[in-house]
Order: sequence, then C-alpha cells, then structure tokens
Amino acid sequence: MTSTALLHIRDLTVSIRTSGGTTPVVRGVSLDLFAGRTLAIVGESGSGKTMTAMSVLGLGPPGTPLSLGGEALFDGRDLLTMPDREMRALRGNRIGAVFQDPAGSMNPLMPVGEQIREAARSAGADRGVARAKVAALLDEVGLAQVPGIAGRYPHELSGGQQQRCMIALALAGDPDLLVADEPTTALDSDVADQIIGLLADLRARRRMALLFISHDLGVVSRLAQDIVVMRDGQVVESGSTGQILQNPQQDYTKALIDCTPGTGGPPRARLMTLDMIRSGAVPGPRRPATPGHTVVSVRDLTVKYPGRGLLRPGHLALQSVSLELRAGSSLGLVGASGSGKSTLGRALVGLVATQSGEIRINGRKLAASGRRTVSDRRGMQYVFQDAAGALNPRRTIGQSLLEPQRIHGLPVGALGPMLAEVGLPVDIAHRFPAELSGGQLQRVTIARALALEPDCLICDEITSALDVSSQAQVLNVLSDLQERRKLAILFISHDRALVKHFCDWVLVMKDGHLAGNGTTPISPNIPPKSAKVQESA
Amino acid sequence: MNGRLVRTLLPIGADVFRSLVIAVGIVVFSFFLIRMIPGDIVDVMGIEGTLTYGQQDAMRESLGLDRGWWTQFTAWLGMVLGGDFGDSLRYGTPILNLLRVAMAPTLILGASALAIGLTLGIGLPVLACVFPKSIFVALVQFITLWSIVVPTFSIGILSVIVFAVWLDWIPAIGNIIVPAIILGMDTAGTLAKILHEDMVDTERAAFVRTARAKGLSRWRIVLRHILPNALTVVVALFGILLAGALTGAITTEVVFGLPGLGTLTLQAIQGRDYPVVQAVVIWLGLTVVVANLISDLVQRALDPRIGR
Repeated sequence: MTSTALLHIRDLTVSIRTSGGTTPVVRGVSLDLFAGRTLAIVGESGSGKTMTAMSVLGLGPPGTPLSLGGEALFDGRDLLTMPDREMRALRGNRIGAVFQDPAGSMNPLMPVGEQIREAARSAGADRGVARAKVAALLDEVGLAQVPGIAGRYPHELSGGQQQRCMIALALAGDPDLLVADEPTTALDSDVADQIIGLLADLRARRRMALLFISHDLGVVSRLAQDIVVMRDGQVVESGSTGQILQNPQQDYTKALIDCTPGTGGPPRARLMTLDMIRSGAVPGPRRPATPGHTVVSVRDLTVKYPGRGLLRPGHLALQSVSLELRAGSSLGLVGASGSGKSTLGRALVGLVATQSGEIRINGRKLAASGRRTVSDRRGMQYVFQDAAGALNPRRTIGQSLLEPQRIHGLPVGALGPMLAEVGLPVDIAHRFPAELSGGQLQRVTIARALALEPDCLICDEITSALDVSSQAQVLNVLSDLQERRKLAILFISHDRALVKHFCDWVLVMKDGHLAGNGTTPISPNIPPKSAKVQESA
Repeated sequence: MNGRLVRTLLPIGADVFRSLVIAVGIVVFSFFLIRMIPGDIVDVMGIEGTLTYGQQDAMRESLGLDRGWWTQFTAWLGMVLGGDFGDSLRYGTPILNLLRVAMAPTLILGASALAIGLTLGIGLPVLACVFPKSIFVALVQFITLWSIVVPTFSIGILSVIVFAVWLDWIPAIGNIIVPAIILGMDTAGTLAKILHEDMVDTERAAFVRTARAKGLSRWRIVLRHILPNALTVVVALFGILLAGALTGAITTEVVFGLPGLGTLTLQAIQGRDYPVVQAVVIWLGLTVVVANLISDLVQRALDPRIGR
C-alpha cells in the first residue's frame, strides 16, 4: 500500500535552527498521497501545514536554516537527502506549486506569458514548444478569451486572473503532483469558487495528485478525498473527507467544523468554540433581531483621494453611497480589496474628508472635513484589523483600556467589568500586548472601543488575522455586547460566509459603489430585497 | 488609444517640467551664491598688491561690478539665455573655451570612476546573492564600510604620498588611474550597500519562491528575478550617484593635480572669478538634473507599474 504512494511522508520533523537552539515547527507528521487523488492538510495559521509541504520541496523560507528528520519519498525517491540539483529538476517538472498571494507570486517586471514560458523552458521544452505551450496552458486555465493576456503584466490582471496564470505556470512542466498552498484565501468568495472548480477540473483531466493546504474546511470538503487535520505541528486526525466531516473523533476537529461560520448553525447564532467543546458547554441562544431607531445615516457620500504629485488625477474611492445603521443590528459590508469599504468606515469616523453627501449620527450632521467634536467621537468607535498594531506596545492592557476615558475627561471606570464584558480575566490588565494572543488582543481593542459607551461600532476586518476558533470567540463577544448594549455595528469584511452569518443586512461594494443601488438611498424600513439575509424562523 | 497615450505622456511631462523648475533655480542660485562670499575679484587682486585704488575702481566699472546685483543679474541672465557665459574676469578668455579644456580630464575621471563603481557596486552584491555564504558578502560589507569611513580627499593625499612619493610608482601630478579607483570605490560602496540590502529583501518575495518552484538555477533566479527588481531602486539613485561621482571628481582632481573642472573651479572661487564659478555650477547642476530626469524616465520604462 505505502509503496505505491506518490508522496509518502513518515514521521517528518522540521525544526528552525536559531542561535538559541532549535524550534520544532513540524513534529512527526505522516501522510500518503496517491497518484490522481486529492489530499488536504487543514489547520489554523501556525499549525505547520505549510511548513510540512514546503520543507519537503526545499521551498522553505530563504535564509532560515531548517533541520529535517524522518522520511519523505516522492515516487520512491528520497526528498530529504536528494542533492539540490536533483531537487531542482523535480520542482517545476514533476511537482508544481501554487501559492496564497497571487499578486506577489509573479515577477512584477515580467509579462505573465514570459513567466509561463520560462517555467516551460525550465522543464525542458525547447523554444518553439514552450511558446506553443504558453497559449495552450492559458487556454486550459480559462484565460484564452482575455485579449493579449500573455503580454500583460501581473498588476494589469485581476486577482482571479493572476491565480489562473499561477496555475498555468505551475502546470508548465506537466507535473504529477500539484501543491496548492491556500490558493483561494486572498480571493473574493465568487472568484475563489471558480478557482476551486478549475483545480478540481484540472486534477481530473490531467490525472495528477493534488496536495491542498487550507484553513477552510468548507473549501476543502469540495475538493479533497482525504483530509489531514494539523495543529501545533502534529497530525490531530486524518481520514477520508466524509469521515472527518461527518464523524470527527477529536475535539479539535469538531471545534474546527463548528466554529467555521457557514458550516455550522443558523445565521446570528453564537458559535461553538474549542473551550466550549472541552468544557461541554453549549453556545448561547441566537441573537434576537430587534432593529431599533436609526443611529447613523449616510446620504450620497462621495470621497475622492487626491492624486500624488503634479498633474496627476485623483481617485474616486466612494461614489454616492447611502446607508442606515440601526441600534441593535449589524450591517455587513462586503467587497473586494480596494472596493472602498474601509474608506467608508474611515469617512464615518472622520479619518478621511468627504467631498459631498452627509453623515448624521443620532440626527446630528457631522462635518465633511473630517473634524469631529468630542461628543461625535464618543458616539462612534472603530475597531481595526490589526489588533497588535492598534495597541501601544509600551503600555499595559490596563493603561490602554483607560486611556479613552482619561482623554474625554470621564470618570475612570473599573478594569474588571470592562474585561469581563469581552470575556477576559482581570489579571490581563497588567500584561503587555506582546504577551497576548491575537484573539485576546482583538477583544481588548473591542473593550477599549466600548469604554466610551458608543452607539455605533465600526468593525473593519476585525477577524481576518485570526484563527477560526479565535474568530468564533470574538464574534460571540460581539453578539453578546450588541444584545446587551443595543449597539449598531458596521461589519466590514471580505468574507461573505462570515458576514452572512453575523449580520442582519448585507451590502456589497464594488469600485466605490454599493452594488445594485449605488445612487438610491435605502429606505430604512424596506432593506433591499437582495441584501436581506434569509431568516430561518 | 489617445487616452492611453495621454496617460503615458502626462507624468513624463510632469517630470520634465519639474526638472526645468529645478534648472531655473540652479541658474538663479549660482549667481547669488558666489556673491555671498565677501570680496570681489578686485579686492582679491588689491590684496595681492597689484592695483592702486584708482585702478581698482576703474576695473570694477569696466567689469560692471559697481552696478547693483539686480542689474548685473538681469544683464548676465540675458547673456546666458543667449548661450553665452561671457569672459573670465581673470583670464579675459571666453568661459566656454575654458570649460571645454577643463572638462575632458573631469569627464574621463568621472566616467572611469562611475564604470568602476557600477562594476563593483553591482557585481559584488550579485555574487554575494548567488553565493550567500561566500567571501563576497564580506567584500560587500568591506567596500560599504570603506566608502563611509574613508573620505576621498584623505585617501587621495595618502596615496599620493605612498605611491608617488615613497614608492615612485605613479607621477605625483596628472595620474588618473589611482583617483579613478578611489572615486570608484566610493561610488561602489554606496551602491553595493543599497543593492545588497535590496536583494536580500527581494529574496523573501513570493515571486522568488515561484522562481524556485519552477526549478530555475540559482544564477537565473538572481539575474532574471531578484536583480531586476532590486535594480529599480538603484536606477532611482543614479542621479545622486552621478552627482557624488562628479563632486568627488572635483576634490580628487585638486589632490592629484589634474587640470580639470575641479582645479578650474577652485581657482575661480579663490579669485572671485564670478562668471566662471556661475558657469561651472550651472553646468554641474544641469548634469545632475538631466541625470535625475533620465533615471526617472528609465525607471518608468523598466517598471511597468509606474505611471500607467
């Protein structure tokens, strides 16, 4: 059985050698991938899933000395002891690789066709063959209709087109094994679906093996026949996809399934977390949908960023955007990066000036210049994506939490209740940001934003840097707070499943417009039909 | 199509316009700067004791130095715009002739220094990148440290003493090889430091991992993927490097007794030969402005992400 595996890994260990000794990142991983099949490695960031795949291909981070142990065979050949020259001949020829960041994964100074041709040449094709191959590969990944695609530079393509080009590049040597490391994570969900479909097609048509690395069980379940779940550099559980998803044996796997929005539970429900599974607790009831009065209203908002330098035209980031935020409800704002969703959030709190239109909070009109009075600022608070960057590293959590009240001259509250509200113990107040995990930090920034008792909270991609289990905790905290304080939340995210789970209304942004109803204001009582999330009674 | 052309040409026009504004600034600056130094050519000659007070006044009048700065400036500006820099106050010969003679040694020195600088400054970081655990990394660090620590004029004087006076390998005056190497080392150090750091950064870029995944050889990864991306930064610095090489050439020339622009400038400043100083400053300034403009345009051509 094992002798026929295309990729055979036994007790693989990977350690990073540092001046202070070695840090193990992969600890005894075993897996088998057979020709023509798809195996997925699933785990959160830092679980060692990428390191497992990349270290055996010799594609570990440059300048980082790795110690490898155990056994890794590709088609019977030992990958760990193979000289560099033979490994190079294997890569690009029999093993192709696709990575997470399609924009950065291609040389920005080279047309994409040229990069694919280089890969084909490197795999041994001669000039004429390589040229013909570029066209054939671009056709195979569905880019044949795009005019002049081979002559374009990576930055002239959309994210989906870039990833298709990367796939074409990885296939240039007609590999037996394609390694795809989070290939859809940086893409919009629609585009991600198309890429997943393409990968499934290609694998079947070319009869190659696919090693798929992802944190997203939803994606994995559509592609993989077998799943290996990893955590802390070790395999937690492995088996067929059906077996893992339907009948998980380990607590961690169960939590991973349940805390992923979209795979477990109805919308607005509180999510299962790892701690709940361990303690046998059940998530609280669903958050009731009781939209109150209008807290924030935005009418025909337009924001223009000035051009850089002399004679350079500016860029319209927002065009005639109108929306309502109501007490006790969440409005989701989804869209690709650069669609203007963060700009909208920033315009609301006055971080960017607006050109036209108006913003009202509790009926009071805010200045277009972005100037805000003290009371304006108290009404609306912002939670940023990068929690670690949003907290002063030289201040303790307690100092950071009490700062808003000091600035606004309010009576300084007690730290205990503030931290308890976001589910953190009070002793955390004496620690520094560097000592906390990403999920804990994000809950601290939420507690800080709430210190001024705002009516409205703007959450800008607050969970995108977090693991699914931390994400579930943060979302649960936010649900509780919203119910208790009747908060109006503007929830900005690129993750549609997440937004659909968490929000009462969803608006889609594209190129600075609200898709569908870019110019007409939304009536407060009748949200646009397409945007209304189905409520299961 | 037309819109695309406009989008391409507009930023280039903006670059050219900006360069012109700087050039005008240099022309104005060069006139007033030299007049900030107390004493004019007549004072300098008077100190030397060659002229009586009456002769001094007559000379000022004939040279036009008795008029106000503004009158002098407009008259001079009219001449310069007509392409005439006037005559040297000291020698009475046309300045363009003086410049033409003096420029040859400076250009030869500056060009050879730049050639040495570019060869070492690009070659060493490339070798250090291809062979990351070799002596080349140490060489990059050495040449960087050298250019920071060792001023060109002091090592110039030292090498005149060692090679010309003690060892008698080179003539004390008029040798061009040693100053070219000294200046080249200086340029190479700045260049090597920036390029090496940039290549180390680029090494971590995702597209370099893609290049490795393609199975390319180390040389090909470095020359086709890492170097071009790191070079876009260096091209932006080309104007500054050229300015450094030229100003370096001026001081080094004086040390090695080369009859170039540097020597001419030094004499002109000491003798308050205003029109000569103005002409040299304008010429050097315009060279740097043009070099900067060219490096901007080259960068635009190299990097498809800029200005399209």
